[in-house]
Parts: sequence; C-alpha cells; structure tokens
Amino acid sequence: MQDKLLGYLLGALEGEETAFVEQALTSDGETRRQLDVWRLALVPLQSLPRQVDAPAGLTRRTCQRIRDTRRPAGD
Amino acid sequence: MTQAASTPATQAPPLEATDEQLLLRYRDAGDVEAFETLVHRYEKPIYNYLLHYLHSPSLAEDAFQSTFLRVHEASRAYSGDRPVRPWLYSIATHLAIDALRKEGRRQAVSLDEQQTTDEADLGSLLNVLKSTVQTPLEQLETDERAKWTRQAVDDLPDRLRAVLLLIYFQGLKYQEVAEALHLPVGTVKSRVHKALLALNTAWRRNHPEGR
Repeated sequence: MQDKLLGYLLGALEGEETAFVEQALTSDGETRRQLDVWRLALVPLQSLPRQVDAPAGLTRRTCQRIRDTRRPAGD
Repeated sequence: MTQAASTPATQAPPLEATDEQLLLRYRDAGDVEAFETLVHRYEKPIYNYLLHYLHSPSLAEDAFQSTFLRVHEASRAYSGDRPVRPWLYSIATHLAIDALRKEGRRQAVSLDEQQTTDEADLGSLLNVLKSTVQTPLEQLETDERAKWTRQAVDDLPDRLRAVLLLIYFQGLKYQEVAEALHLPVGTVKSRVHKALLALNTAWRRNHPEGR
C-alpha cells in the first residue's frame, strides 16, 4: 500500500490501482494519515513550475525543418 | 513532408484522433495535417520536459525538433501497436542526454550506486519524511526554494532525474515511463523513490531543523 500511496500522489497509477487507493482512503483513517506523510516527499518539488509556454511557432519551425530535410539537394 | 491526402469521412478529425491514428494517417497517406496536429499536441509537454532537462531554451527547441524529425524518419516503419506518447518521451530523453554530453555538463552523483530493494527505498524515504518536524521549505523565500530545488534535481543521476521529470512534471504513469525508458515498472518505482529520497535527504542535510 505504501508504494501505491506515493504513486497515487504522483498520479502515476493506472485506473484500477487508483480506484483501489481511493477506496482505501475512503474507508481507512490510517491510510489517510499515511498519505499526508507521503505528501511531504513532494514538498521540495512544489517550488518549481511544472509547465511554461512553448516558444511561439515551435510546431511550424519543426515541420519546416522536416520539410527542409526531405527536400532534395539543389531544390 | 508530402502533401496531405484527402481524409475519408469515416475518420475522426485530426484534433479528435488518437496519437496512433494521427501517425498512421501520416504513414499511410502522407497526411501533413495529421503530423502537424501530433507535433502541436506535444509542443508544450515535450518542450517543457526538455527544458527541465536541459535548462536551455535553444537546446530544448533543437531537441524538440529533432524528436519529431526522428518520428518522421521512423514513421514508415510504425506499426500502430506502440503507444506514441512513451515513444516520444523515449526519443526526447535520448536526445536530451546526447545534448548534455555534447555540452560536457553532465555530472555524476553516487546516490544511485546504492543497491537497495524497492522496499528498502520506501522505508528509507518514509523514515526521512516521518522525522520531518515541519514542512521543510516553508521558511524559505520562493526564489530560493526554486533555485535550491532546481539544483538538487540537476544533481540527480540521469537515470533518476529522467524518471522524476517524466512522472512529476509530465504526468506520465509508471507504465508509460517503463515503456519510454525501456525499464521494468518495478525499476521505475524504485528510481522515483530514490530520487525523492535524495531530494528530501539533501534538503535535511543542507537545512537542518528547517532553517
């Protein structure tokens, strides 16, 4: 269960495992207390932004690079 | 890239198609719109993954473009059986590691040299957490926290850092990370535990009693 609790916090479990943990959290106070302990493991990471915007036009430049790669020399 | 073929009415519009359907359309019909939809779909997550890994917008963009160039080159051989998302992260990870090696700025940390079982990893991390009297970072200013954490993540060995970035920052499942990095699921779990243990241990070592 310890293994699953950390995976649950990370969102790394598959659907069945997630349902299993959520059921345990609903019915067992000790499991909820353990989950709070595991939350501390992620605290150091919470200061970092998870996502920033990609640079404008990245998709266009990427596809252009692929087109350029495919173009025969001298074309 | 070849010009897009007309899309049969029975196919879902590109925005609704799965990653695998998009790549199959590109493979079978040279559907440029499908390929561009796939690139755009992963523009933000893959770029962010590479930026976290490389800390350089220019290196991240080059690796991003190279990732999809590899996909394009391999698309003719794509069978449709392999999930695209972990495959993309697999390619991106290899390219990021190569980029760091070329830059000559990869470091080694000995933490992962410990030979411990998954249970031992969990127990060690749990002990560190249980002995935490107060939330470890709450007394630090935001910028200082971010700077410390960024460096601590950077100091992890590649094999731990990749797993942590994929799971925590990109939201991949254990199984997807296993596919992306060609590892058993148990090894993925073990590595994320080790990564978190390293971060929490380093914090306590460098900031005793939460100071």
